[in-house]
Parts: sequence; structure tokens; C-alpha cells
Amino acid sequence: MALLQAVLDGFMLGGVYAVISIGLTLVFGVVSIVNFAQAQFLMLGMYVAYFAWARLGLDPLLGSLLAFAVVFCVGYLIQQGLIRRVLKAPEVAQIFLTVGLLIVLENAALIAFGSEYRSVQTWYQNESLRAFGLIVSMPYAIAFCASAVAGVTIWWVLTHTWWGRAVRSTAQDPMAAKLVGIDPDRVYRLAVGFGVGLTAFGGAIILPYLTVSPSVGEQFGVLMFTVVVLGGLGNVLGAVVGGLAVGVIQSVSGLYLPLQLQNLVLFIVFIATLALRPEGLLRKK
Amino acid sequence: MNRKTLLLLAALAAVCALPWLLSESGYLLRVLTLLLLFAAMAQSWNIVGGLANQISLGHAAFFGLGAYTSTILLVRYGVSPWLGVVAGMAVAGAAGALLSLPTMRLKGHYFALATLAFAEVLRSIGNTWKSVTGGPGGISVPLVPDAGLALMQFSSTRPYFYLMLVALLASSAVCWKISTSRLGYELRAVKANVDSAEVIGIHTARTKIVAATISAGMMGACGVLYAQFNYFFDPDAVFSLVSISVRVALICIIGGMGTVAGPIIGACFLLPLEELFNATLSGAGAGVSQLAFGLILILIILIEPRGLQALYRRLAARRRAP
Amino acid sequence: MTTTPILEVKGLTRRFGGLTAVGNLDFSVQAGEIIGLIGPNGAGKTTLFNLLVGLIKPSAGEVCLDGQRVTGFKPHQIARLGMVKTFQNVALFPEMTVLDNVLTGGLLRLSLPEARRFAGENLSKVGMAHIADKLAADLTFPEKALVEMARALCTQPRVLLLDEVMAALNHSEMDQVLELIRKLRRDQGLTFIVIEHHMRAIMNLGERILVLSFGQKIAEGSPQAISRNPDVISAYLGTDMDAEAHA
Repeated sequence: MALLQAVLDGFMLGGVYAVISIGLTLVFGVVSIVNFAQAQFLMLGMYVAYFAWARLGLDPLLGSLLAFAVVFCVGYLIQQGLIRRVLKAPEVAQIFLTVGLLIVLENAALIAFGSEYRSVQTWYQNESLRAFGLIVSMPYAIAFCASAVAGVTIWWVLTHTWWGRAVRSTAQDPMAAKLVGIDPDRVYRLAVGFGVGLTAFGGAIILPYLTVSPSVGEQFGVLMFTVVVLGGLGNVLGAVVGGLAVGVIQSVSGLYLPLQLQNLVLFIVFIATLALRPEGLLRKK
Repeated sequence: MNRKTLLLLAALAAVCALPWLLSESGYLLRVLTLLLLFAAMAQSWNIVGGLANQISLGHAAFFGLGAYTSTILLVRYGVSPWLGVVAGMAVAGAAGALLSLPTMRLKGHYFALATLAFAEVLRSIGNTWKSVTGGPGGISVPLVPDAGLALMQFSSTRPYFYLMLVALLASSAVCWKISTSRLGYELRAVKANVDSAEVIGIHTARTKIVAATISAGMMGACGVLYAQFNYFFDPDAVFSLVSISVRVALICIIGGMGTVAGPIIGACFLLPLEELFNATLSGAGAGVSQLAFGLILILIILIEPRGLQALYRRLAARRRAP
Repeated sequence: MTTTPILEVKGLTRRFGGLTAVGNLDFSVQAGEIIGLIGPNGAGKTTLFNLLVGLIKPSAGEVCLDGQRVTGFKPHQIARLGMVKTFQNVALFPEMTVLDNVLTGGLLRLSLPEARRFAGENLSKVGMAHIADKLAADLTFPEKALVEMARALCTQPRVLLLDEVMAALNHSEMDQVLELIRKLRRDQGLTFIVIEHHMRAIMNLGERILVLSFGQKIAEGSPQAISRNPDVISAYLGTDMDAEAHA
């Protein structure tokens, strides 16, 4: 029974991990850059949602939409101003640009918001649902539902809108995309904005059960990368599967293993996937 | 004895004289001592990052392993830090060899990611395995009055300066020796084209493992020295992504990857610059100097990612051809 | 008494998904032979070389070097046993000098100073000693091909697989390389398998020609027999083999 509860909890968490990580995989899929600063956008999203709650009284669920919008713009500008300049540069440059961004964002947040931990209070924070002997905490459930809605929306956007198809074709073959009239630079800007905005959205919806501080990104960085590696870098569906898998693995290992080994398990999954099946567990789409 | 050697010896003599020109436990000497240590760390990174062009963002893993190994041995079993250096190198080197196996075929971003994750997982283990590491509260090297050389503990900064200088000279010598030896040729071949290197008989897997082990071991030794110098550390300090892994990589990159002078040049540029920012900006609040560090990093990457030596050559070429 | 062939290939097959790049190949090579390997583009010639040196694993079949099974061995092990190839698109180490490139080949069996000396000798043999200090990235394509051959020679191979090493050479340069190959066979007993599109070169050089088409061996024999073989001619339909042979 405890196992079933753990799997359920993991699944709920995993749905959120998925939405957070889709952004990362999308950025890689389109501009072929591993964004080491991705988790900082999660932090930014949390702060936007926090201040929307603190100053405007907005529930974080609504705040998450605002977070998406704000961080989308930030990402758009960062692609235009910074990432674009290293797309053709040696990998060293690409890696350290986003690492530099990581440092800048975390410390900018530290200067702007201070280091104290902040959290929101919502009516559903301490509620929980009970069914079949299992307990689901409300914030988890709501976050999961929000993630599911977001996931379906993303899927729809990528497959049914012109923009989504433009992103996919640019990801596959920028030259060919140019030939059919798609401006790759514009697609890159939109994709990066969308990608980091999504991660910010994910951060906002988990605000009810977490606290935000400038260093909150550190908790999620390696986790996001594990999800994305499992699912295959660039593979959006893979990020969903990977997210759920990571959530469940994390939750179940929490049941049986002491704290120090839990992260080790995830790391072993991560490194084993990179070593044995770097394209991810799913078949290439 | 040619002119270059004379210049180098003169420089060395000047460096050796420095501690006697500055106050023996002052701020400036402390900064310089750390500069020497970081240059030594950058030399270790150079072997994998510069010679083999594998960008590691996780060298803090080996640094921390070295620091914890020797300090735990000292605190629990009274083992001398000198033996601790050997033990630290062994543990770190083994970790390096072990990590090189699953990362063997990884390149570029993927390799960087894997190494980063490794250091992060060690950091989290360090923070949660309280019984062994002392957890986030950190661990201390016990202060023994009048300890001296036997316990690698000194009452002023001056002896530490020479300790770090020896470390820098040793790591530079190792780097130089590798670069001009068979291993160096093999590494450069593997860096350029793995298949081609294999076909002409280079055991590319073994080459990578050997390089990783040496690099990690050297980094571990530096970790021990740091522990002895600082007396206190915690997982967030020694397994730090930004303060250790990125900084060490950046020093090597700025100075010129793959060259023996590179780490030294890079350390002489970056560390004083950081101290300048710290001194002028810390008053402005937490995070300002780090923010400046991040901005400098981005600026450097955008202007000349191949480092100062390449920048110098670029500017020199431009001046020659108006 | 029959001597063991220095290279023996039995049923060698390599499939990529649904495509059979090399299918059920059988042939053997005696020590000191110079074999020409020809076939239209995509016939599987380079894939065969990659299989022989261990860069890719066969889906089926066996490779034996001097009686020893080397199927599935890593390239560096096969190099140690004496079989080395050059790359069709040339795979030098671009940021090293020519001399450094060539001496890395020598590191297999020699110390660093010995390898350096041996590299100088082999560079002279291929006529590239004058560019020893140039950066490999700055060479012309034919220069690169010859330097790569020198590098392969430094490994002291017994079987050398040359993949279009004469591709960008003019006639007199080609003659020099042909002479070099014959000399190496004469003086050192080297065995060669040579992939070439220059028909004239192959017909003059090879004592035995192997023809591949779509991964299958469609003919094997003397140059004269091959040039009259109807299967070979139809495989090359569209190329004027006679004209090329007399070019």
C-alpha cells in the first residue's frame, strides 16, 4: 500500500516534472544548445507568481499564466541578444554562455529579492483527496491537472498550428525550412521564449507546495536534465514519459532508501541512459 | 642556458620573494596563495579540458573528494595530511577513472552535463550523509598549536604560499610532461578524430581513462591542500559548481586551453579581477560580485572564447594588417 | 604446401536496417599481393574496409588476419596485428603538424623519438618531407592523402588498405604512388588492397581485381578478365570503362 501511495505521489510529481522539462528539451531540439540556465527560469517563474499573489492577490494557477508570458519575453530577448551570437561558435562558448547566464540570473534574483525563503498561502494547500485508501494532496493534484492541461495544449500547438509545425521543421532542417519561407531566427526566438516560459509556468504551479528563493533552481537543475536525457534531448513526448518516470523513481526510492542514496539512484539512471542509450529510451520520432 | 629559461628563473625567484615583501598573514598574501592553488587546479583541468578538449563542469567532484578523504582520515584516525594527499589522490583518481567509463563516448554539451551531474550528486550526498561528512554543517581540520610541517598546518600564510607554489610547479610539470609525451600525442589525436586514432593503433579508451585519472587525482590533491589551508569547509563549498568547477574551467579557458602557461595566465587575470569586484562591490550587497563574475564570463565568451592568448594574437594580427 | 592467406574473409555481411551494405563476401589474399577493389559508388567498398579494420562490426561472417580470427576486434587491436586503412575523405588531425600527424602512427610500436625519426623517413618515401612542419589543416587534398599514407606506414602494417589515395593526383603523381606501392611490396612484403576509381591506375597496379556491386562480389580475376566481364560492364553501365582505361 505504501508502495502504491509512493507510485501515485511520484506520478503526480512526475507530471509537473514533465511540463518543467518540456521547455528544456524544446530549446535543445530547436537551437541545439543545452541550456544550463534552464532551472533559473523556473525560479523566475516562481517569483513572478509569488509577487502576483503577494501584490495582486492572484492565485498561483493564474499567476502561472503571467509567469509564462513574462518569462517568454525574457527568453525571446535572451535568444535575440545572446544565444544567437553563439549558435555557430565552438561548443566551449555555447556551454559557458548559458553557464554565465545561470550565474547572472541567480545573483540578479538574490540582489533583487533577497535570500529569504518565501511561500504562498492558498485555500487548498492543506487539503487532500482520499480514495481507495490513497491520499492525494490537493496542491499536488491541482499542479498535476494544470500540467496535464498544459501538456495537451503544447501537443496541440506543436501539431496543429502553423507555428508548431514551423518549429518542428526548423528543428529538423533549418535550411529546408528557410526554403519554404520560414525564418529560422524568428522560430528560434519563439522557441526559446516558449521553452523557458514553459519551465517558468511549471515553477509557478508548484509554488503552493514549495518555497521560493534565488537558489531554488539548484534543486531542479539535475532533475530536469535527467528527465530530458531519459526521454531523449529534443523529444517532447519523451520529456513527458521521462518526467513521469523520474517522479516515480524519486518517490519510490524515497520509500526504501536513505536520503543520501535517493539522488544517487537518479544519477545512476541519468548516467546509464547517457552511456547506453544517449538518444533516450523512446524510439526516435 | 637560453634567455627564456633565464627569464623563467627570474620570475620564479621573484615569486619566491613575494611572501617576504608582504605582511605574513595579510589579505594580499592570502589572495596570492589561493591564486597559486587555483592555477594548480586549472592545470589539472587542463589535462582533460585542454589536451583532450572534454569540457568538464564537474571537477569540483574530485576536489571535494580529496578534501573530504584526507580530512575524515585525519579527524577520525589521526592520519597525517601528507598521507591524506596520497589517499585523496587515490580516491579522486578512482572516481575519475570510474566516471570516464560511462562518459567515454560523450562529447561537448553531453559530457559537460554528465560531469556536472556527477559533482551535484556528490554535493547532495555530502549534505545528507551527516554521519560521515558532517552534513551541511561542514567539517573542520583540528587546530593543533605549533603543528608545523608534519601536520601540514602553519600559523601564518607564508608557508602555505610555498606549499601552493610547489603544487603549482608540480602540476605544471605534469601537464608539460604529458603534453610532450606519447600520452599527449595520443590525447591530441583522440581529440581530433577518434576513429582515425583507433585505426592507427591508439587505444582510445585507455587514453581517455588515463587522462581522466591523472586529472582527477591532481584535483584531489588540490582539495587536500585547500582543506589544510582553510581549516573548514562544507559540501556546498568544495563541490560547488560556480566557485570551483566553473571557475577552474574558466581560468584555463581564459588563459589558453591546452597550453602550460594558460592556467597561470588565466589565474593571474581572473582571481585579481574577482578580488577587485569583491572589494569594491561587496558593500553593495550579497550577490553583486558574483553577478559581476557572471557578466564578465558572458562578455569574455562573446568577445573571444579561445582565451587571452588568442585574443592577443587576433589584436596583434589586426595591428599588423591595417 | 599451401600457405595461410594473410587475409581471409568468409561470409562477411553487414546490414543497416533493411539495406545490405555488404553481403556474404568471400575472398582471400596472399601475403605480398596487390589487390584492386572496384565497383560503382555505393557498392560497399569503404564499408568493407571499415569491417576489415574493426570500425564497424559485421552482422555475420568472419575476418581472419594471418590465420587469426579478428572479427569483432577493436581497430587498435587490428592495427597492432598489422592491418591498417586510410580514409576516403582523409582523416588527419587538423591542428597538428604533418610530422606530428605521421609520428602518431609510429607510437604503436616505437618510442616517441624513434617514431619521430621513422615519421621523417616515411614522409620522404611519399615525397612529402618538404611540408613536414605545415599544419595538416593547411594542406591540399592530395597532399593530405599522401601524408595519411605515410602515417599508416608508420604503424608498420602487413596489410595496408588504401581508400582512393590517388583521387586528386595528376598522372605523374599517380605514377609515383604506383611505383611507391610496388616498391613497398617488393622491399617490405607489404600486402595492399587498393580502392580506386582511376581505371588506368587499377588496371596497371592490381594483379587481381575484386569487383563489388550493391555489396556483392560480382567478379574476381585478372585486370584483363575483369574488363571483358559482362557483369562488370553492366554494373558500370553509363561509365565508359574503355575510355577511362586508356585515359
